[in-house]
Amino acid sequence: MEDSRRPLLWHGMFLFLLGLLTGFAEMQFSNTRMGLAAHLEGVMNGTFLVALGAVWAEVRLSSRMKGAAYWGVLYGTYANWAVTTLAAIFGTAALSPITGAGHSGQPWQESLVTFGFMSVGIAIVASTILVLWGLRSRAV
Amino acid sequence: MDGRGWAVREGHRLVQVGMILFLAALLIGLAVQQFAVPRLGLSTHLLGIMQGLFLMTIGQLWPRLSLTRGQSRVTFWLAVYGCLAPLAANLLGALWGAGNTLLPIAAGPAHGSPVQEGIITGALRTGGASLIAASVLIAWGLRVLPSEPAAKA
Repeated sequence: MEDSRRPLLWHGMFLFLLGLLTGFAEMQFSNTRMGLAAHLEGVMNGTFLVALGAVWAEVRLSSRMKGAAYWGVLYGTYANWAVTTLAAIFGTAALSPITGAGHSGQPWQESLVTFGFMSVGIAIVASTILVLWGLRSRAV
Repeated sequence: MDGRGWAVREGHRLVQVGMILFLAALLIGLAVQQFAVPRLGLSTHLLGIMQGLFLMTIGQLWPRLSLTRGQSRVTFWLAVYGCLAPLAANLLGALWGAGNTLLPIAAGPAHGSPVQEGIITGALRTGGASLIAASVLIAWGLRVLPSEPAAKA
């Protein structure tokens, strides 16, 4: 998993690019305010992956744990952007009452977005705890 | 470890604090609707994410700064305080239903007692000043290439 530093940097820059491109399409979404959120999610999650890639060598975990953190963080960041973009396309309000105020989608769309955001929350919080554990001073 | 091992340790501490801030911001994001002012809760979530990323980033370049040990320590604490104080101010505003003295967009009509508004305003102003001072010192520390001798610093 030590050699996953460069892929993290690559995915970070790619997600950053996706965030930029989303910004160009903001006005085409059903919910433009959610489109702006999707743009920011792409840019910020991409920046996070680049920052994490830069410190990846300092994250000391077993190979299995580091693999879990790697895939968890990739899922959490990409899915965050993708689900927010879907919410902007559908015009859903699930789990985003501030950004989605005044909007609502089909029940299946609201369910899909709810599941997406919940899975993102679990994946990114769990991965962050793993990374934090791998950054502790006494990590071997 | 070479003579600048303290810089490596300070940098690692900044990465740790940044990740803790990032995690705290994620958890705050899960509770946005529970705050007295949800829009300020959202601001706290976003601010923590960005401040966490900022601390992780400067932690990476810490050993490359041409600063004396004393300057480095001062910059370290200015950066940490400059990130934590505005976050705390936003969080307190979200909890108290206050803060529109300096955060009129996010807080909307939420206005607390004079003491609450004073604490929030003070934390935002001192935090902002600290972060600006830290940024100036970090920029100053980056004035020479890492390969150049930093003995003059």
